[in-house]
Amino acid sequence: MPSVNVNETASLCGHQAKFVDVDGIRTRYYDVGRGEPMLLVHGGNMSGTSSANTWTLNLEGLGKEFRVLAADRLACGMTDNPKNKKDYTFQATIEHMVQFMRTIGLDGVHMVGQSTGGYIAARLALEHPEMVKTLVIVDSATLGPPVGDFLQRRRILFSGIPKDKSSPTYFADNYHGHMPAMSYTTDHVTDDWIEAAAYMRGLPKALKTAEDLEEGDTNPFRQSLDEHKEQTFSWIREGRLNMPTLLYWGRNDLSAIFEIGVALFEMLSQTNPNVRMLVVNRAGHFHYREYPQEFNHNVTQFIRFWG
Amino acid sequence: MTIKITPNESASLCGHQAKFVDVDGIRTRYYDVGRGHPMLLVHGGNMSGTSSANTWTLNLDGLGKKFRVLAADRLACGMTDNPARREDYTFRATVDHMYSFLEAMGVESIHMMGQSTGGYIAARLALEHPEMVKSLVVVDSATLGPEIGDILQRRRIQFAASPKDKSSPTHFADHYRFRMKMHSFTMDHITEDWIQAAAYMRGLPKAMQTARDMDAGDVNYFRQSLPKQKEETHRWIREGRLSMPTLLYWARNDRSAVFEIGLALFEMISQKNSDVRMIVVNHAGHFHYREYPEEFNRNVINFIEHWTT
Repeated sequence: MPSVNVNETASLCGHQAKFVDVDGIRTRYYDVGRGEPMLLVHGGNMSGTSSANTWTLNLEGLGKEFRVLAADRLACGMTDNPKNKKDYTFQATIEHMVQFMRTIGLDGVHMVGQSTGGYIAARLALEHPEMVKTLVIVDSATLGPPVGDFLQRRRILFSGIPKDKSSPTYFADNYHGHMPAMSYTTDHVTDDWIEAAAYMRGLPKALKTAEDLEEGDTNPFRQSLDEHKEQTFSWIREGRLNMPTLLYWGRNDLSAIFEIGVALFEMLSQTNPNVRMLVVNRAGHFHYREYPQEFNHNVTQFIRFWG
Repeated sequence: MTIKITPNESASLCGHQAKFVDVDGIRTRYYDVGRGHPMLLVHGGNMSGTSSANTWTLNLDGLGKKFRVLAADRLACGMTDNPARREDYTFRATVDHMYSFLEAMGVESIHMMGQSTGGYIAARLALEHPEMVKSLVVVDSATLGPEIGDILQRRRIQFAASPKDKSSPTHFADHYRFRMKMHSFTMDHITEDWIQAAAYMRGLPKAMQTARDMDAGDVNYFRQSLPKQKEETHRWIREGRLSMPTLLYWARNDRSAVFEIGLALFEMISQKNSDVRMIVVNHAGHFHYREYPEEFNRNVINFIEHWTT
């Protein structure tokens, strides 16, 4: 495998990530384009590999229409860990993202969240409806009602992942194994993306994150979700999520499956007349990377129509 | 530690003794257990030594208390012969062979049950011989159901980590064991005797010939014979020709023949058939009749007794 030089901010696609202090948490983020502000919230567990880099194929295209902000979440990518070990939680993640918005001076934001980031985006919209104009949820099992057995699906999906932690390329190999299993087409899984993720995963901060949390799907971060999600659902059922909302799903996502999107649509649509769902065929969990022009176009159109 | 298990030479399991009968020149292996109205169990899988009636061996005793249970290895599967002509590695020939097997058994009226690929075969038999088939149970059949999502993608990912070292002396067993695990929600039913019997049958000269005659895997000669016939099968179903009491019995957590296929199949059959029912079992996979055999037997017996007595 060719050795790809990772720049020290792990930036991709010609963009240059920046850093800002958010209440003492050094936060990495991209800031691309001009126009109304759009905030992209990445997915994944708290890990060096989970970062705003997932959005780098979309920044330029969306940046033609919006000012696009994409930050590494708390304890993810190159953003600091929380000061207090007990803040490896969803609530702390959301608060950090709100503070990021305030620090940059964002208001009237178009929110886009994928996977775990979809939950964070929706929760932010529920807690601060005055700050959020439109909401796009991309393949979020974390936000959606449970359908079937999520852990079983992931166990099967990741059955072939390299497990040799002693290998010098373990971080890259591990990430390189995950991404295609989550995808339908795999051209978007490029070496630079993988290497940047492996680089961030290997930084002292990220090694500390992994130590503080066990890796995998049942960790303290995930455990902080259950009670939190019950409240999120009761707010949704009360009708508190009423900005225009787009659910944008990959038909062939084998983790956050399509049926979750449908169930989520049912839940939101009970009280929100302005919810729409778009399903893209032959596409997986990262369909915004698989079909970036189409994704950018559809998101832009949705916002232009409703915003 | 692996306990060495020696399959008996008819690869029979669970204290049952498989027998052989000539069906139009095709030596056919089958189980014949119990007394009562005849019931035919049709196994799944591609044409392979590993695909066989052995899948049903945890259920034969229980079902045999109420029915005469027949479970045969399909054409070119298990220890049943390959077709005489290479052109007959088809669904058509498979259905014909199973019908001829029933004739050879002297059966005129039958309760039909099929799992996975066998669900398609059972349904097709019911469509072609409605006077013979009193009830139909279809278990986790993506082959019969409408297409949902991309089954090749699901299977490719599900089996991505399959053992690939064909030179290993235990390759057949390792490969089959891995696949069965990926198909299942609970694993206790995956016993070594079952695996070793499958590996034994897979290693027989006949089965080695089968593998050579078809490309291995999901896109093979056998599978290629399906689409045209399936169009007709679905059209017949839409016309209302599947009218016997029909039970779709599905596992919630089947990751190959996904639950949504069962739902879509239910929608299709229920347009014209008022006597179709669906049972969904939770925390269960593609072989849920092995994972929960007592529950399975009881539900099948109840269904048949309700609708046919």
